[in-house]
Amino acid sequence: MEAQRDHIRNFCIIAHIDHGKSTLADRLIEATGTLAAREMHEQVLDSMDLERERGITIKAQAVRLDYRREDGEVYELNLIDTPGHVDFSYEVSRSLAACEGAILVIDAAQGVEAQTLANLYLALEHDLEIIPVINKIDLPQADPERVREELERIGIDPDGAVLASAKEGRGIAEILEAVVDRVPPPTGDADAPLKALVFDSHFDAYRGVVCHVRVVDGALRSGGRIRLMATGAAYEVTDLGTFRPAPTLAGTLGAGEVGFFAAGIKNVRDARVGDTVTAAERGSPSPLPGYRPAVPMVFAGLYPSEPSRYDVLREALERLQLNDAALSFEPETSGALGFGFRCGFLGLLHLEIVQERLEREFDMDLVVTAPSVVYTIHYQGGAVERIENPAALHPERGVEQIDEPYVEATVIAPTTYVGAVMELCQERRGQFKTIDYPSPDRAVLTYLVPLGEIMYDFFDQLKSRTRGYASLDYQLVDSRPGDLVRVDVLLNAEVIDALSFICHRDQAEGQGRAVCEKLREVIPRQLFDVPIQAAVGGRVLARETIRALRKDVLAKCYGGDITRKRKLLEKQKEGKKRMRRLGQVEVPQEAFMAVLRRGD
Amino acid sequence: MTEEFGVYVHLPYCPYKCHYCDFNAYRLPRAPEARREMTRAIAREIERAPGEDRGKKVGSVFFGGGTPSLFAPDEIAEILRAISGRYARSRRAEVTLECNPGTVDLAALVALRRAGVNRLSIGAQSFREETLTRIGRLHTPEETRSAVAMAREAGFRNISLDIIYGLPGETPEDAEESARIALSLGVEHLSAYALELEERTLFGRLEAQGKLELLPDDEVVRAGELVGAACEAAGLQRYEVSNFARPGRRSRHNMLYWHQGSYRGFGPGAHSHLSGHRFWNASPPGVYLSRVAAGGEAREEGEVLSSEAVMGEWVYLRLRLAEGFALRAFAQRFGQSLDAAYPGVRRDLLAQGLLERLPGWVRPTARGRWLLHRVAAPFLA
Repeated sequence: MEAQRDHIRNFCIIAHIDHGKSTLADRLIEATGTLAAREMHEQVLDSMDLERERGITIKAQAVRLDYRREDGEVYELNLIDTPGHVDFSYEVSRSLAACEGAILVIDAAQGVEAQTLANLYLALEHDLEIIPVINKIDLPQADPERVREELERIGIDPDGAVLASAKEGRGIAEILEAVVDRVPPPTGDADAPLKALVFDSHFDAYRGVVCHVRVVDGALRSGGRIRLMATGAAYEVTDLGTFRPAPTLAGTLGAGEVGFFAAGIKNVRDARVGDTVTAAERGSPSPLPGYRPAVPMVFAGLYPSEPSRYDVLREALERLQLNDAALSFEPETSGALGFGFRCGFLGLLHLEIVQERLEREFDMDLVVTAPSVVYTIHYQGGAVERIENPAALHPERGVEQIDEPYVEATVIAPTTYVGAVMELCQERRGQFKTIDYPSPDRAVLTYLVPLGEIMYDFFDQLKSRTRGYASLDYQLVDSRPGDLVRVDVLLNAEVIDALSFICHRDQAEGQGRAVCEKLREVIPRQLFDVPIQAAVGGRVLARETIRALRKDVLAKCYGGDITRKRKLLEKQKEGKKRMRRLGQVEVPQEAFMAVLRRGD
Repeated sequence: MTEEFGVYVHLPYCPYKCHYCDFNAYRLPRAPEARREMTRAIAREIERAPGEDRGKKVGSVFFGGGTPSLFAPDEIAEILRAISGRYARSRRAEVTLECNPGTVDLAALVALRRAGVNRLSIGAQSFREETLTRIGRLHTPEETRSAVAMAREAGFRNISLDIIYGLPGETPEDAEESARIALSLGVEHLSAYALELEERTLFGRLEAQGKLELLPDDEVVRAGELVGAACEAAGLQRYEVSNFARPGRRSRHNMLYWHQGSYRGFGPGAHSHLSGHRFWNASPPGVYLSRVAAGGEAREEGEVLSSEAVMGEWVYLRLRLAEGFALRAFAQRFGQSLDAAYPGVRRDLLAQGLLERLPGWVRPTARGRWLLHRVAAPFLA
């Protein structure tokens, strides 16, 4: 069923985490009969297990809903799902670029939150028509009036807001009507050369990379020759169609339509999010605006617990990369940990997801070092290096300046916590920028904060200091010089490169001490005293000692005990295999994350 | 050395259960017949159980429990007669019976002596009355003293006392004081154990809940050292991790265990070892009784040790001994040198100061003895 262009609506749902985006998507799919209720798997759009477990959307997807109005007219509604986490804001922006409208979901009890705003501003940048939906009105704490006021203050017409409870199916019909009435149909030139935006892609074992596209101009045809403009590579389209939500083949996707295609592309890196698809011959001379390759912001070393599993880890990373263009990895050698990989991630959540997938899907036992941001080192004599690993800093070469990445952080919190939020931002070397009050009891603060500071439990601290009421969003701004030093950690008088971290000179002593204390807690007693030291350039700032183990013997071993005790000893030995040996010291895996807890 | 053979008899009943004990022990059933029934079953097992151990020359018999002294002397005598029927008993065999203060009187001790018991192991545990109450013992320090006195009067010339250090509420000095009192009674042998918390005991549960105030490990070690020094000063030498004896008064039976010798166990849950084959009986008394009644034995499970396991166990058990072992003894037993069987291990342990530097010998240092499981771990597969 080919819809006329004026019967097409492309829209997305944007929301702060947990405001009910996925549930609303499910209800829309259900209400349009795209899936019968019995086929509904709760939260259809979040297809990865991890997403469902964590309640977050990692990869965007699109689904086509055929909506029949009262008057019998059938509309093609393309619902484009967007990732809901700040780590994936570039992907969000590409999904938004594929739409003409956005449903802005706001929790009726929570009100406007940091990601509500961040997503709203992104949507407005793309000139999207906004349909505000005040969700969860079934909750006893729901306060739609207050939310309306907040909407007005952030420049949204509150009269257009739909009151809904996705959970109970209330307001769904109004939302569908609003999408048809208020979201403009796509524009675009059907006769111009093909231009289609890749807003998502994933790897399929049988078809290769499946690209999710929005056709802007021209038409995408099955069997047609296409070219991806960022790489210049040409392919032949093998499969073309739409998700309803199961893939359904079609011969053509016309201007304004949303769907998928496969073209024997081997790797998602060759069909990156944001790229433009055009015809291989007589294609468009210029790509769609806004493409940038995903830039990892956070780096960490991943090492196999058992050195013999190095090749398995490399293969696992290669497999994950097929489906995750934002993941980067390079071989790396650590004096402490041996052979592993320095991996780049969009953020900490992305790191955690990759780590979990490696452990779960590939049965890897990993040592993960504390994440680091990218520092730019200006050495004497003019050499400039960007380093992703604190160990790559060479103080002996004479460091003139170190630059670190800064983000603009937006924090929304009840006004009673403004003091606490400011205090935290200041502790983390934040520079105050603005404060606004969208409603009398809520404040929006923006700060410039080093990304390195955000990474060290900033969010946890923010939550705990505001009793969970504050929300956070941030965006990379630029790199700025800072008075930074590398703190080295010594175990038994040996520098453990995997534990080095870079921080501000004024914080070096406090953080060095915190790391030493943490390590003393997590490293079991050894046969000898183990000194732990934190040092900057050979000057020791903090010291702890793990006292030697004094006693490890069972008092009794008689006839009946021998079998039992031998087994106990064998088991103890098994447990030791899970330890990493650094010099003479047995270190458990969690020790490498001690650096992350240094803010406690 | 002629191959020694030992017999262990497990008598599983106690008048009460102590807070730290996870042995295979049960409250003595009210039915007066319970003891007799158990005695008959054990005698029957000794008579009927199949095995090539029949006819061996027995160098030691050990009645453990439980509280064997709850059994009447004629019941012990009945079991000893059964043992004499199955085996050839050496005339100088060591026959030990564990007993608890408060469960014996002079007449019973005289009768036991006559039945052939020649060594007593008395559970003193502590000489502080409040400690005894706290750990769930129902006797007083005075009853321990009088048990020793009565045993002497009954003619026992080989008496051992058990004490425990690291008990909740006790300082290292308290433990030392208990050891001194025990030694002042003139006993030939003392076993001094560091308290171990077992999951299935009251103390184990309290500890898991953080409700037990215990000494830190360093202080437990100090307690053990104070106790050890008191023993040595009184002329009792340490010969195993937890055991001290006057010259010639080591427990022959326990030495058999540490020398990886062969022994046969009878009674509920008793373990046996016949050259590399370990097996054990069903533990619950009810199961044991019905199995013996049905088939004359109650074997539950067992394992045949691999040659590596035999070797590792041999080393571990001998490392428990204060004297350690001669490298030659290992080579003779296994046909290869220790260093060939465990390359680099001895060198590392020497470097860590866990083994003494003695030509031709392997012996843990004092520190190595406290860390014995670290010393032994590399030898266990």
